[in-house]
Order: sequence, then structure tokens, then C-alpha cells
Amino acid sequence: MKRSTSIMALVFILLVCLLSVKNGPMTINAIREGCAKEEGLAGIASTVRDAYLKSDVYKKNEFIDINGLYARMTGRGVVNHIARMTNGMLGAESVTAVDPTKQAVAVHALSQWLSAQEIPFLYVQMPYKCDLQNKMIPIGVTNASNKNADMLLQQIEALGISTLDLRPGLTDTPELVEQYFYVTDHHWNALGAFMGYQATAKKLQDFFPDQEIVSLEALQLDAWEVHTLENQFLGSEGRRVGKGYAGLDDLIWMTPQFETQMSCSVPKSRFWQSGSFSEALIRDMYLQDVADVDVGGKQGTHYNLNHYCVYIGGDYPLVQHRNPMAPVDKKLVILKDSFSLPYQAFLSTIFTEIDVLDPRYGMSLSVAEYIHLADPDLVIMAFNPGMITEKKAFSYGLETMEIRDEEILLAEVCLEIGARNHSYSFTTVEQPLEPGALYHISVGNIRMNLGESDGVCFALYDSATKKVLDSWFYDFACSDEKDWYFRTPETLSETANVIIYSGIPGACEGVGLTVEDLQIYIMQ
Amino acid sequence: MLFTSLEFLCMFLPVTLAGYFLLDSKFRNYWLLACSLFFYAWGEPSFVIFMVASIVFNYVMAILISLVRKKDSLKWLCKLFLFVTVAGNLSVLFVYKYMNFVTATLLSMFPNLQGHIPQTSFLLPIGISFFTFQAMSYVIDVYRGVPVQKNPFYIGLYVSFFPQLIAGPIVRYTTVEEQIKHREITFDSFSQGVKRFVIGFNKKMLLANVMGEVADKVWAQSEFSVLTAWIGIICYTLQIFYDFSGYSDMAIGLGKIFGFDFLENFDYPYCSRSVTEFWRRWHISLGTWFRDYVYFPLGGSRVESKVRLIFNLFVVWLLTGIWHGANWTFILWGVLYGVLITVEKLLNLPKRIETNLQTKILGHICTMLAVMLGWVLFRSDNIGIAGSYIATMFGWNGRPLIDEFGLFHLKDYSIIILAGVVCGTPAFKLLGKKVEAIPVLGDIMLTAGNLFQLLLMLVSISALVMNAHNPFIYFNF
Repeated sequence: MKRSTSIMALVFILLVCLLSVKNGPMTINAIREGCAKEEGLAGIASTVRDAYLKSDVYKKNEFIDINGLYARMTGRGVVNHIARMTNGMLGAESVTAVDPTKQAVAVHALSQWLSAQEIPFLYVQMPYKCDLQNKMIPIGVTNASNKNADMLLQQIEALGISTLDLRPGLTDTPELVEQYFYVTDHHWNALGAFMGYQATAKKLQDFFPDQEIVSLEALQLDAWEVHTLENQFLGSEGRRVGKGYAGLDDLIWMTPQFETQMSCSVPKSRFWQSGSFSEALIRDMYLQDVADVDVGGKQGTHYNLNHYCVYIGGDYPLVQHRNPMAPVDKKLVILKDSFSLPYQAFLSTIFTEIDVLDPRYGMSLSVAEYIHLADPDLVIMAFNPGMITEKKAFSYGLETMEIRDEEILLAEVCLEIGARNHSYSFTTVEQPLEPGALYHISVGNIRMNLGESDGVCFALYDSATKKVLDSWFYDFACSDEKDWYFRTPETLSETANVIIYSGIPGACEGVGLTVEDLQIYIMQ
Repeated sequence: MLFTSLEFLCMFLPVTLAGYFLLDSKFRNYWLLACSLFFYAWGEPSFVIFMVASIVFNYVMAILISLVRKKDSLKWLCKLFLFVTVAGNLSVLFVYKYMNFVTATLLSMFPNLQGHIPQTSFLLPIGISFFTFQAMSYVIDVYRGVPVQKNPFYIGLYVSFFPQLIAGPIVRYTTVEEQIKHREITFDSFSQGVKRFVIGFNKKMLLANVMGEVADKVWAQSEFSVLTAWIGIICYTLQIFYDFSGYSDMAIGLGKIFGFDFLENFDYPYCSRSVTEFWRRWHISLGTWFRDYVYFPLGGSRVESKVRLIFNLFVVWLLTGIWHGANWTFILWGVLYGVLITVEKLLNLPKRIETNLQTKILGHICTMLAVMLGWVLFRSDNIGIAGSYIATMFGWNGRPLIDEFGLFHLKDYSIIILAGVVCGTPAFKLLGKKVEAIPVLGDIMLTAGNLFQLLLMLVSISALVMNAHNPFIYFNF
């Protein structure tokens, strides 16, 4: 009998030693950081404590899975504020009712401002992962998301704004929710997004009566191929409770069977991809087995890979879709949340230009400034009920709008960028920049001298910090889009300049070009 | 620093263990003292100075008392030193823990005293009630004849030893005197200590913390049903037991790992059939402290008049309530226990309850009811809230019988609540004893039990990693 207890003690010692050794580097780093604070033992203690709370402790994901499994075995209906709904899907434990009056007023102000510029506006109510009758909600769980959305829609409609509610048809019953949403994630799946896209495109027919939208091939489900990657996706809710509690979802994504040629740029990340729909919009890293993916030098796991981002790659302040082959030659600006990732991808097969802004993330231009400069044919605001409590989603910079459309030419240059053996080769535009100023760069023409490229990247770059502050892509396929507007930060350093890459960053090797009639204006 | 924290498991414990077992035995006490002071300083470094001052003060007073206690002519001086010790310790405790409460009470009664009564902004040193009583008991024992310890570091270790520093058990110096000077650690005793620590760890993480989630949610509601009120108090009853007894298990286990044997602090208190019995099973070290240092010096039960007996009990239970906190709820809680125990004593109830099965059952139900009502007071911020809660429990304020909140939590936590109730009985202990004697099966059951505890420990660590809400209730004492 003593032997059993002795073995227990040995296992305990081994466990403690293992945890100690494996977490040792993190502990030592935290102690060093704490010492650097010069706050004595209190500073060290708080730094170490924070390190254990916030960092990746050894086998953190496995422990989360164990915790989830234990919760499941002990019949817990709520774990870490995530509830098991009546149909087995996961959902938020508590969503309180809010008064959306301020939000409605903000949306109305935006629509009035757009109306003054003769830009139509449509509010699209994205769905929520809960049936409209709330049958999915178990006893003890409160979820007012649909009620909040109802109230906002009611108020917006009363103010005369055009709306489209995507919830009917997608979330009428728990069975539909199961069909169109992920079990472990709060988002819809590609099928659900496709239904939303179809409904939106049909609604947009009203805004563009001269365009043939409803009968487009791109709107037909059988023109698309549905792909499934089984048991790979642990969604946002699942990551909170662990695989042991949540299980895994099948990732669903859709690609068109018809021919496509488009581009997608993410200025914040200096990222640009062109080609077919799949090449431009699908991120291959999410289509592999998680263990085969490298995520910032670490092995991929279900916890550091968000498969929902298979379209576009994630949420960014600005994403620009260009599709010269699209049947509807109109420009849309979409104010979005994360539900739009597959949705905007589908819409990009129909419209030639879509600029997608996520107001939760800062850009150098305010939403109002961007829309003013982009001059779209339509602005869509597409929010899920969860965005109602997101203050930034309803702040557009209307009050501080400063653009007066007068611009002063600062320089007009012709630049030749030679071919180099460097994938990120660039040339600096020697034009001093002022902090907090709005600039306009207009490109006359770009002539390829050597090599090939689908576009050229312009960026605001700080050579001291080696950070790209903003960027823009000149897309050869969209030859009429030659203007870039950006605002410099208030704390702009003297080492920040506009640079021009000899092509697409990461693919500049052997590419040489000439930028003709580059004009730099400051807006006042 | 908490025992149930990753920095304790991954940093403090392995380093302390490694240093302890690698050092020569003559340095081990000093190593433990250094680690204990570091452990205490981790929470708030300035408190270490306070504790060291307390150690020095009590050490010096004990020395002084030992110098004069055998001289009849200096008995008055001996008593004076004792008085200074007790007054000094209690004064500090009063200033840090009770002064603002007394001030607030006086001001509420006499508002014109505003500005004339001092108020402090001192932080409450963690564990002050525990180590103050522990240090005081040493000096009182020296006064009573226990040999004084001349090595200040040994006294420092006795007062500050990290396993029992923050939340007990309150250890008597005589318990550990010989062990400080000489102790033998075998792998068997080490293993028993590990097992005890693991059990306490699991109790805290998997029972106390989970029950605490429910109790906190219920007390955060402004209105709730009768069902919810009972679920809330049942969960709190389980929470406080597993929180405190779990900590005691970890303290006793850690003590044993380093070769110290502390006395038990809990003995299945929720199996009690009388309030008197409850207090012999709950926080035993505190009960015996008050018995030995307050009740017996006042005469205890061996007094001539019943009035004197009632007085003695009243004093003890008033002080017990005050010890627990600077709030009228704790004082009322203590006084109510005093009343109940007095009634039991006067009516000789504990013996009469043992008459037959029906009286035993009735006694148990009544005791649990009294204990749970007491916990309502203990948990509530003020007497009004406690009164309202109790009224809800019995449906006296028009609240509904059931509500969705109660039904949900009953369903969601039923397994854990059941586990908590069962583990609060000696069922497994008795089963273990019966099976122990059976060859082979006994070994298998013990091994299975140990393996189960290890698996639960992995679950407990997973709860830590999940940033589970993790405060100790008795940390505030």
C-alpha cells in the first residue's frame, strides 16, 4: 500500500519538475522583466503572475482540453461563459438587452451625410447564431441578441433608412441554425454566408435597376463548389472551452466553378494577391492539417489557427477587392464586421470594386473621409447583433471631417526603379512629409522595364523603425484606379517616406519599372 | 502567493524542495525560514517587515518572561510582560483589522465625533489573525512553563512557516518544538505529505472554486427564488468547507513533506449532530486556541454558577466572531453560536441526541440548519442582506418558489454538489478502511484512489490554466 502512495509522490514530483523546467524560460524572462521595472519584489511578483496568466504555459492547449472534458463529464452546461444550447451548439452565456437609440441616430447621421453626396445607403442586419424564437436558449441563459437587432432595425427603418434583414431564412429554426452556422464558432459557415450574399445581391437589384443582377450565374448555388475539411476547425467558442467539451467543426468553404480573375489587397499588411477567386481570396494555410501549418515559427494547433479566416485571412481595417471581369461595374463600400469575410468574397464575383472597412480597427483616414475620397456607388453597413455594443462601429468621423477637396501639388516626378535581386526591393520618394496631413498620390503610368508583375505597391514607410504605416496597390488590371489617399500620423518621424516597390512585396526580384508622372499633393 | 497558483507549483515549490533536500540538515531550518519570508513577501513585501517585527517582539517577550518566571518575587513582572505581550499583539491586530470598523460604528452612533476619531488607511497584512495568535500562544505557553526557544530563527520559522502562515492551522509551539530541532523524513512520510497536498489541491480547485461560482452568482442577484436561495447557501456551505479544509490539507501535506506533523484542523464537521460537536470538528485549531487561552483561564465549565458559565461562553464566542472579521455579521455569527452552544450545554443536548436514531437524525438536520443559517450571516455584507436572504430561504418575503436561475444551476451543478456532499462525509474513509484489510483488493483500491487523485490534479491544473476564479475565503483573516 505504501508503494502506491510512493509512486503517487514520484509522479507528482515528476509533474512539478516537468512544469517547472518547461515553463522555466518564461519564468526567468518574467523575473528579468520584473527586475527591469525596478519596483522591487512587488514588481517581479506582478510580472511573473501576469506571465503565467497571459502567456502560453507548457501544454496550455492540452490543459484547456482536459478542463473541457472534465466539464462535459460533470454535466456542466456553461463553461467559461460559453453555454451549450438546446441543440448542442455553443453560444454565449449572457447577452444583455441594450437600448440601440444612439446607434440608430449614428447610422441615420451617416445615411443623411451620404444622401447629401447622393450616395445610396443600405443597412444589412447580419444574423446571429440563435433561432428567432429563442428555442435554442436553455433555461438560465439569457440572450437578447435578436431582440437588440429587432429594436435597432425598427428604429433605423423608422428613420427612413433602407434595410435588409438576413435573419429570416437563415435562423428561423434551430435546424436552420445548425445548417448555416458552425457548432463551435459564433459565425455562419460558407453556406450561410452564401445565402446572405444571394439575398443581398437581390436587394441590390433595387439600387441598380439598370444592371442585371438577379439572374447572374454567380448567384446560383450550383455554379459553386462546396468543399469540406473534416474535424479541423475549433471555433471561437470552442477555443474558450476546449476540444474536450466542444468537439471540432468541419470547415466549409465555397469556390466558383465559373472563371474568375481578381485581386485582393490588404494595405495594413502590405498584402496583395491576384489570380482566380481561390488564388486571390482563399488562404491555403487553413486547408491543411493543423499540425502541418507553421504559425509564426510555431506548429499549428486548433488554438492558434482560426479556420473561419479561410476567406481573406482575417479582419483588417481596409480590404480592397478588384474584379475587372465582374458583371456589375459598380463600386461598393462595405462597413463590416467579421461576418463579412465570406460574404464580401462572394460579392466580389459580382461587383468590379469593393472596398471593405472594419470600423473597429483604425485607419489613417476616418470612415467618412475614406468614403468621400472613394466616391462609391453604394455604401452597405453589414453588422451582426453583437456589433451593437461596439462603440467604434458607430463612429464615422462625420464631426471632424476636414477634407475640403483643395490640393496643392508638392512634386511631380518620374522614377525609374531598377531590377534587383531582392524580393522586397524599393525606392524612396524624396519628398518630406508633414505629420497629420492628408496626401494624394496620383500615378500617371507605370511601365515595366524588366520582369513581370501584376501590380506595384506604394507604401508609407518608416526606415528607422522598419514599419510600414500604410500601403496601396496599383493594380495593372484596374488601369483607371491611380490615386492613393493617406493621412500621416500625428507623430510622424523624419525617417518616414513614401516608397515604391518594384512590384508586389515579396515578389520584386528581377523586376524593374518606371513610374511616370507621379504627382504628390497635399490636401487642404 | 497561493498554493493553487502556477507560480507556486512551477517556481516556488520545486526551488524550495530542491534547496531543502540538497542542503545539509543543519541549514534546512534557515532555508525554510528564508523561503517562508519570501513566500510572504511575494504577496506584499512591506508586510514582511511587519511579520519580522512581530517575531522579534514575541521572541524578546518570551525571553524576558523565561528570565523572571521562576522567581517568586518577580511574578508581578512576569505577569506584566505577559500583559504587554498580549496587549501588544492585540493592539496591532486592532489597529490593522478593527480600528476602522470601530470608528465607523462610533461615528454612526455619534456623528459629532467626525474629525475627532482617527481613521487609518493601512492595508490588512495577509494572515495577520493567524500568525498573531500563533505567536501569542508561544509566549503564553512560555509563561505557563514551556521551555523558551533561544534561537530567534527557530521562532521565526515557527511563526512564519509558509504552509500554515496564511490560513492556518494555528500550530502550537509544543507541537513542532522537537520537530524544528530534529525531524526525520522518510520517503513514506514524504509521500503521505504529497498525497495530502494533492487531495487538498483538488478540493480547493474542483469543489470549492466551482461551488464558489454559484454562491457568488446567487449573492450578486438582487432578487431570487426560494430554490435559488437554498442552492446558493448549500453551495456556499460546501465552498467554505472545501476552501478552508482544502487549504488545511495542503498546509498539513506541505508540512509533512518537510518533516513536520501538524494537527488536524477539520474532522468531517458536516456530520455533526450538535453545534457543540460541530465546533469540535470545524477549524479545530482555532477552537482549541480559544479553549486553552480564553475559556479555561476564565474557568471553563468548572464554575460554580450557571451565570458564570454563560458569561464564559459568551466571551469566547464573541471573541470568535470578532476574530473572523470587522463586521457586525461576524460578531452576530459568533454570538449566535454562543447562544446555541450555551443552550446545548444547559440542556445537555449533545448526550441526549445520541439516544436513538431519530434523535441523531433530527440533531444532524438541526445542526446543519443552524450552520447554514450561520453561513448566510458569514457570507453577507451586512445583517440586512443576511436577514433578507434568510427570509427568502423560507419564503417569508413573497419570492417565488422556483425560478429559471435556480433550475439552471441545480441542473448544471448537480453532479458537483452531490460530489461535494458525499466527499464531506467519511464514506470514502470508512470504505477505504474496510477494503484496506482485504488482500490484493485493498492494494488495487488504494492504487486506484491515488491514480484518481493524480488525474484530478491534472484537471485542477487545467482549471488554473483556464484562469479560474481562485481566491481563498480565509485569506482575509
